[in-house]
Amino acid sequence: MIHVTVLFFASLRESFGTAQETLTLSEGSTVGEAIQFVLKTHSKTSNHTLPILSAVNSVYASSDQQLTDGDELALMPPVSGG
Amino acid sequence: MTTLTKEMILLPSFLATKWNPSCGGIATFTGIVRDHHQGKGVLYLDYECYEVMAEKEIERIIAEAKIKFPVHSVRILHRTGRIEIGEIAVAIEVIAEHRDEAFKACRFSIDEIKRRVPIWKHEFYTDGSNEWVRCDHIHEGAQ
Repeated sequence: MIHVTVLFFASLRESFGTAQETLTLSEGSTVGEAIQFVLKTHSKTSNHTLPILSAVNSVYASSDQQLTDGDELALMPPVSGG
Repeated sequence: MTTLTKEMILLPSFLATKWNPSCGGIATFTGIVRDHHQGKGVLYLDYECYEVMAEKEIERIIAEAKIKFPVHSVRILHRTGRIEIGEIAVAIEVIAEHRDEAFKACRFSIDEIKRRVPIWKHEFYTDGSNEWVRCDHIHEGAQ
């Protein structure tokens, strides 16, 4: 098993009611699988419908990227800076 | 280089005080908080930021701009936290030998900031409501 710290930002943070949680996933789990797990966990309290951007250790990641133990996975709504 | 700040951005102190004598063009862009958005009066806004990544992403944009365009320097400073109407949200300065590459690198930088730097605008309106501003950019990281 691997442990991944998940960070939530902006509307996702508000929608899920938390800024951070730790996931325990099976070896070889991907970013996409982690997102599905998180969405399922929060499905009763959240109706988040925006696209979700993901980054692993501060670098944008695709859904098929594999996670490793200790990774920091950020889940973010589309950005709106500038 | 500082790329994020919670303090008010003051243009005179942001702009470079020294330049390369071989450079004849300085292009700047200043993004300022507007008092309205889609018909609603804006009171102020609050920028949430994933700081560790935002700093890295801005540094990547600067590096890419310097590879893509023959410019001497690119500097970017983005505000975070609560910002009042009329205050500077983002400031960019590009120094180059000639104006064309300075303008192009400046435009590239602000477009990339808006597309990929993890900062989110939370607007608070005069009618008492508030909203996370939606910008539906297409991004390779989107699920």
